[in-house]
Amino acid sequence: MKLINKLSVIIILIFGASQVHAQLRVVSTLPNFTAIAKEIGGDKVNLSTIAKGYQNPHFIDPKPSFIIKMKKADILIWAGLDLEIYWLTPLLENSRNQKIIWGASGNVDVSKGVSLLEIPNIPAAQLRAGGDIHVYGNPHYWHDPLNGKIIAQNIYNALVDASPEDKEYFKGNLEDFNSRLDASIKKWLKMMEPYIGWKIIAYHNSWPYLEKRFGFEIVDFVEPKPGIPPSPNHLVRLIKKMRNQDIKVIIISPYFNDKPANVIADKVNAKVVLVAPSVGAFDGVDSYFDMFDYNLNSLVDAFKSK
Amino acid sequence: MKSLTLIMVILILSSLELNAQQAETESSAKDSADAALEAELARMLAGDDKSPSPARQSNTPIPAASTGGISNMNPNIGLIAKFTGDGLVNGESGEAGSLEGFNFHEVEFSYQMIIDPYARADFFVALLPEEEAIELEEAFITIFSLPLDLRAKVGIIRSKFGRLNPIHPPEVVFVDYPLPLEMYFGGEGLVGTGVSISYLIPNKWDLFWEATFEVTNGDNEEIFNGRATNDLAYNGHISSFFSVGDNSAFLLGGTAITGVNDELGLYRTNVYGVDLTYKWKPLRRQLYKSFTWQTEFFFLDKEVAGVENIQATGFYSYAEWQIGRRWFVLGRYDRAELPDNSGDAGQKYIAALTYFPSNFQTIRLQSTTSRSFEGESSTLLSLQWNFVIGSHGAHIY
Repeated sequence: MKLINKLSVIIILIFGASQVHAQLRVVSTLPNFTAIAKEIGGDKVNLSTIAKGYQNPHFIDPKPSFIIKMKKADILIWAGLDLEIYWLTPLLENSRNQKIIWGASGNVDVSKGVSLLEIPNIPAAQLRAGGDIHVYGNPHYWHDPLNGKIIAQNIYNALVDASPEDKEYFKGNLEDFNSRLDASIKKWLKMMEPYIGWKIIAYHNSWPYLEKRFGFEIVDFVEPKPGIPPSPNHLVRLIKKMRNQDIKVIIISPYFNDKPANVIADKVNAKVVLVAPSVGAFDGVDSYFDMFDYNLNSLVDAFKSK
Repeated sequence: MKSLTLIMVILILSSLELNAQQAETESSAKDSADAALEAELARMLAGDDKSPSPARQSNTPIPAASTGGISNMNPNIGLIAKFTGDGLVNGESGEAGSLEGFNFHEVEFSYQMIIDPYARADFFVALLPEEEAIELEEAFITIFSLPLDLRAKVGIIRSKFGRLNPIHPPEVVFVDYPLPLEMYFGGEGLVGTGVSISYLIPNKWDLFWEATFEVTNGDNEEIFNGRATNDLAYNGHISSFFSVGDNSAFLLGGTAITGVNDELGLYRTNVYGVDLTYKWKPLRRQLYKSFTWQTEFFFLDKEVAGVENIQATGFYSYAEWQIGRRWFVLGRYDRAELPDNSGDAGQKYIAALTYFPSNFQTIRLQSTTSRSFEGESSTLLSLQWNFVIGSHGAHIY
């Protein structure tokens, strides 16, 4: 009888251990998606990320070590469009992982359902005259918190598809996330209400979704065209514009050289504001909520000090 | 016959995988009932080659900008042009091995597309005005649905010999090829028609170790017999990658290739290679700063109708610094013994400055000083201009 009891304990332990190992392995290209997957997947997912939050998502080196990470994944979450295509393609196709290859159910493009901004409406032959234009539209859509709900829904769908028995758990987490995000959106909108229509300059065109949601206005960019470094001539034009329109705020991501922005700011007594392009960009920006808190508080502080 | 057998093996492996996809556990969270059902279905479908199950389709949207229109069924098409102006600074004309004046070396068309859920196709067609020729630089399909973590390429492939040879020519960071590649493999590097199979070697440290085995015709006339016989060339390569923190990494590799070199198929040429690369790029400032150091050693061992084999060694080593968002400087030294057992060696000294006006143009000024084994030297100054229109290929590490 004792032997049977011992065997039962062993079986339970083995079964229990297999349940621990049954965590879904989710690899995201960007930390934003990892942060949202953590909200929905909770302790049922094992998360890892390719890019750091302070890296430029357009130019990630496809290190072979990422292939190993993707080889073991059950689900790949990526931004879609053409944001990561040039570095994700060699990683994915070398991963030999049928669960996440193009077209597989574990290959989750979370842009599904997002209303994209700035879809170019110019002839293809003239497209690159505009710099590094994204052919499908601006891909930085996670900066609208309402799009965060769409991303969460896409991640939820993928998790349920991969692990239907945990549907209720994921559903509860999704509802909780959406409800907290709704409350935060109300708070953020109220916080930004006094600054609707206020004009700012951005270094790179990464912020149309944040701009549209919260109503401030990005009137120009330090880069003359996306991906093209600023010339002195362009900076002079910007300085004049900032003086004429009394613009006192320049926002910039941490992966850009802030020297041109600081030069302009010195000339017109403006403030250069470092903003988080992604979760993980700065210490303390650990969740999707933190990213908006950080960026909007930084903007408000800059507007107030104007 | 051997090549036919190889292709058959790949096709069989591929079809096994299609059937095995039903049996494969698709999620670590799947319960045992599902697994049993999958196994039953796999048994029922075994041998039914007419109805392979495709990979499960996702509901990934086609972005709005690309929906509709028959043109979207076209593959990604790109055109890369490579143009140089060359002038001798000192030495006698012809010694530097390159034509003076303006040279439109190459116009390359690329066609790349996913074929189906199991494979993709990459074709590169080169127009070579100087040689008045059109050639398939590379043309292969990649099968990524093989079992046992295998991945295969079938077609015309740049051989996986070291770090530089497999790189597509427009991606090479200097105007010319290093001396050992030029001398032992010919001006275009080592390219073969055949099959390449690679495997990720599992290890408890989760390190990237990849083994590649290639079987090609002995197409290369420089080291093999250029298909004078039906003998095949065999190539084995191991590559590894080691991160040192987030910003630095080492890559270490070894290669061995063998094939027959005479018209009767009696004598073999073996070439061995060792490659070492160090890369540094600070993640936060990756747009502006980077450093790469890469060295490759070559050991040639050629059987001939004589007493002793012809042996020669060579190496190149280059360092490239990124000094600004658009600017790179590079220095390279090459040394390669002539393949005649004399011990005489040629050398090259390279200095290059590269400017990228955008991601789609490269302008490079390169000084190439060549020193022959007799001690004569000549210096060639080249201005290279590459540009790409249309689709451009994925980045490589």
